[in-house]
Amino acid sequence: MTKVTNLRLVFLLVLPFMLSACSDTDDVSKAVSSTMEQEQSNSKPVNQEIIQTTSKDVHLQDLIHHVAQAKRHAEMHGFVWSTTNALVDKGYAEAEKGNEKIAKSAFQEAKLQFELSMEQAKYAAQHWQLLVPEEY
Amino acid sequence: MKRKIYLTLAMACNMTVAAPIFANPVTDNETVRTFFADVFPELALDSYVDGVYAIDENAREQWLQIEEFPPYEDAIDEGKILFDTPFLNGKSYASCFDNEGISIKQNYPYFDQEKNKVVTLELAINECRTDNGEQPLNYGKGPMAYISSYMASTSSGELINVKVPDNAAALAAYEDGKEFFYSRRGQLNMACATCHMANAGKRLRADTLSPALGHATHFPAYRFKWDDVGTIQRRYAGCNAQIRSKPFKLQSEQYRNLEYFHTYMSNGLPINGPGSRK
Amino acid sequence: MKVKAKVKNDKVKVKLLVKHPMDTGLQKDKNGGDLIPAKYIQELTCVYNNKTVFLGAFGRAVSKDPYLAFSFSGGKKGDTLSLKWIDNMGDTEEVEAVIK
Repeated sequence: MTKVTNLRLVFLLVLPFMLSACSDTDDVSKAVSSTMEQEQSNSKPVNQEIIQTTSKDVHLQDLIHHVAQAKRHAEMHGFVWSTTNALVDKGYAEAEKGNEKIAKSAFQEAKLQFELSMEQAKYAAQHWQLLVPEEY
Repeated sequence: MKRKIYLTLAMACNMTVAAPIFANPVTDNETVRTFFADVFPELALDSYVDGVYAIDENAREQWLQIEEFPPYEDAIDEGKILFDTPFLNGKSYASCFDNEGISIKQNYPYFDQEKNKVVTLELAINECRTDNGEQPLNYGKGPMAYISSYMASTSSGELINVKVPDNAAALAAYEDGKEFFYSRRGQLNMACATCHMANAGKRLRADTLSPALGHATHFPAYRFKWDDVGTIQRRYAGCNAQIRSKPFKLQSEQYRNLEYFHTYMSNGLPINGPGSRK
Repeated sequence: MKVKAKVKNDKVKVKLLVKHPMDTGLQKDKNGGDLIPAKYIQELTCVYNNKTVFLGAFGRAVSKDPYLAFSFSGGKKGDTLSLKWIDNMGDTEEVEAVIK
């Protein structure tokens, strides 16, 4: 392996520790409440008591934040798939019920779909001309 | 993190460069017609208004039988009653439109240079209502579709005459509609052009794909799937949903610009709406 | 009921479109709850010159707004046809049409 790949690997391995070191339980709960307020307008509100702020839950909060961000980007560019918002709703519903694993997988899929649709937006902006019949 | 920064920068660059540069609606139409002439060499230009029923013999036979008792007749009658009924303030639809609203559909959509946006017939109908203190109507179906059907029927035979004036805003709207038409979207990654340009005449499961040329002439349309009459933008939303792209709001800027481009494509073809389709 | 009747070479071709829900009685309503009660045409007849020239024994298998086409011989231009249907609930509709 090259030096760069080595460094990248180390960075990736260290990343989760860096993240958990940056945030302690109070910060995360504040981040969660502010994210919750942002989400209120878009999705069903999650019972804050259920999402306890332990280090095990940090991943779910980050995920929710990333999904919300990805959704905003996708909507801004007008490329959203019809399948994705249902997954986000499912994520919130399952998180509310306490099924963290299912919630995370729904959110992961939603995040992936938003990102793919952003790729689609980028491709369309650059290459839509390809589908136009050629001028003779 | 680095990749994220690059991605955001790339997006920003793309968005600024993607402004319309050389929009030429006239050449666009010529190109499209030449294209379809190659795909359907036997088809006369005016026949495109019948859509799939001009290219599929078996379907045409059944359609002609159905047209003995046109399923949109009731919609036209209902539309006429709604159109003629005055508002609470005493005024009527006739006061909002040129020629009292009779035989004007062929001029829609048009680019309103004051409001700086594309105005479709349905949008104009609702603006007429709200200007006269009435509640706006749902854009996809129901009374709006009936009124629009009636107005389309008064334009029967008139040639579509959408204008794209030579100013930046109008050309930008036209080009935006064109970009929408040719952009792949949805989980199925298809563009309008995928079915209605490149694959027109081919089969999609049990259906034959209709060419985009001639689409705009027969809307609003009675669709057997809907068991009802619906506007062209109702169909846009449906088509988007079918390729698993979240539909836009009816009469949103995206759909109005799309309708502008889409109708312009059929310039010179006679209005034969409302029509009946599968 | 919309009717069209045309005569050609002593044969009258009749086409009609009946407006009728033709509910089978097996379908549930939009809220997924109760069954929509059965309402379907049981018999449709066409009478010309006091003679029944067509009799259709429909049933619940016929779809909404049935379209029908049939022909009979012996009809003359300008004469009147009488069409009538009866459904399982006892409702009827009767329409007269002129042969063109």
